[in-house]
Amino acid sequence: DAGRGSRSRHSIPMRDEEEDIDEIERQVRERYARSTHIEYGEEAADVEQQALLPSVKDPKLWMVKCAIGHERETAICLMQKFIDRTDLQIKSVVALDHLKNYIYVEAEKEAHVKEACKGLRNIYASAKITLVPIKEMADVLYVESKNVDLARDTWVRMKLGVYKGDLAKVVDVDNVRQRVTVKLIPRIDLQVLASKLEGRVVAKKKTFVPPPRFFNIDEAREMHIRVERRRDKDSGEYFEMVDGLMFKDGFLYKPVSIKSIHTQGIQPSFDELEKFKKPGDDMNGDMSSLNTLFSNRKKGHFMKGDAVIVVKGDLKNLEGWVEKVEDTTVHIRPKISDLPKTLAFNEKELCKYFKPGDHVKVVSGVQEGTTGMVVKVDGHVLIILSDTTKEHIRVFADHVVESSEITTGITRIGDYELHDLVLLDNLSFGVIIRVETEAFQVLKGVPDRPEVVLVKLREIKSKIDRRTSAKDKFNNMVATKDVVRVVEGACKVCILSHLLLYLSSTLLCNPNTVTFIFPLLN
Amino acid sequence: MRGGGGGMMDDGGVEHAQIPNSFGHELRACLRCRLVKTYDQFRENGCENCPFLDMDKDRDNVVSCTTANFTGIISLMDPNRSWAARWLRIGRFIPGCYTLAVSEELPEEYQVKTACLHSCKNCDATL
Repeated sequence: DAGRGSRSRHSIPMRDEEEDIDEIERQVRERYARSTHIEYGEEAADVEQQALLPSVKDPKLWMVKCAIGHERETAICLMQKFIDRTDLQIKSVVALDHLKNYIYVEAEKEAHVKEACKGLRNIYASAKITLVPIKEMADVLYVESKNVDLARDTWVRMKLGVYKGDLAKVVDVDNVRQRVTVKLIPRIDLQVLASKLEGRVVAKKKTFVPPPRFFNIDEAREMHIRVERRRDKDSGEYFEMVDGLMFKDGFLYKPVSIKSIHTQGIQPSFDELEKFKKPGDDMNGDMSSLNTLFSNRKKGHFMKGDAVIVVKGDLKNLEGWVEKVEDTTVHIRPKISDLPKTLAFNEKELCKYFKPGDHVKVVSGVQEGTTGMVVKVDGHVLIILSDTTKEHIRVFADHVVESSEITTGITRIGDYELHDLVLLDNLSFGVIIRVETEAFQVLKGVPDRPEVVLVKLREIKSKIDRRTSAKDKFNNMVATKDVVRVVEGACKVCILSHLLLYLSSTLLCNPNTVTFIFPLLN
Repeated sequence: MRGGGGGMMDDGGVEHAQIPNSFGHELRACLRCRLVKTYDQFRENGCENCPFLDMDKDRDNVVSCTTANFTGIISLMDPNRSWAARWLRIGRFIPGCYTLAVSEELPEEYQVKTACLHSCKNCDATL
């Protein structure tokens, strides 16, 4: 028990309840007050870091060219060399992850650097040695802090390959092997896949990217693609396996390296999030999208006078106005008079609030640049009537500011503009009915089953430019730009734009099913 | 205060930490002192700057106190005179290969051991 005795000095001893609470408090304070005097050396304020800037008395930093890809190896070899022959006079060697082809050597004289690098396989004898100016030395050692928690359900974006730029959700993290499993909307060309599995050689279609579409087992089976149902040993869940790819609920589950995904500054657009939603998911309750949204907020997001609403916590749905902003705490004056004058909230618990009738402008996200009037507020999601397209668009309240500005909107990206008939892939084509910041909304499908898809610029193969004509129900000739009226179905006036007629709403008419149209003017 | 106790000493040479004997995914950095070695090296010889973490006693300690998630390498030959070491706050450790930054923190239960090291000389380091 002797050991126990020495330890009890440092643990809180058991006391009778009658003991003075103040006495205990004093002891605890005393015990932990000591810690502030301990020099850990690891944590220091920025001010103290300033004091460590290099002076003329310190060794200099030299940049040395070395074999590309072998930077770390070179640094470690130099360490080994120092151990073997302690007459090496260099002080340190730095190999930065992001700087290829060069290492930094710290030494008093250039001659020391030359001497150290002699005989090293990775540094050429004639290698350039450049002095780093004293003012730039601290920048060399600057490391960007990556505060990203790569937890499950985080939104990321793919950096490379077929899915470049696509939004993905993290479903599993393996820190040891630096890999994550993400969930994506598949971009599979079933035909190519079927051919490949049957052993047929397929001519590689260059720069062709299949559009994103949920995986459908029946469709695949129709093309004679073998789909196996397998159980993943790690998660215990069932997946459909095709050609080494894992699918579940239509999504593709893909293991990728952490380096191949963007984790910072991910701004999922409304449409993207909607696609990921399982039926029944409440957009507002989706914590992962909320978290990504809040972490993307810039500083100074809330300003005095802004109307806000509480979105998290016990006071959810309380409205108020911003009185004061202090770092991450926002003080608001609540709308309800019974509450105290001001309440403090963490900025992550608040969202800007708009009323129906407010005129606003979208300042970030995919709808950036759009202006319109708020018609409905649903938590932190607003429905806005766009000034330009007169459509209802959904945006996050975070992306919007009050404004009386009205924009004219954009009508073209690259070679394609509004109302162009474009070819998407060998199986589908459609008409561009809307141009957004980075993508097009394309109307495709058949008259009975119209489909609006969001398509990126690179997914469009080419424009279709046909100049034929068709006949309508009454055998009149119909050509492009004619105004027609739909006889059956909705009766809206529309502009005949191509042989595939479409209306300014989402109906698609085929001129061959002639019962649909009727010219208004002759 | 020197963290050490576990350094290697060659005849007439300078005390130093083991040098990593490979460059691949086995490399790990100690979360307290940022020393870089391979998993096996930590498992066999522990961390020369942080012997109280007992990495050589239990493989769980290696897994909890080191990480493969680190950025950049600095080979430190002369901690006393090196400006870079001072800037990176590794000037008090022994010569060896260190990393510029780690993106994880030492788990709380091990932080207590580090704290004890600084304040109580009487405390038995293996809590």
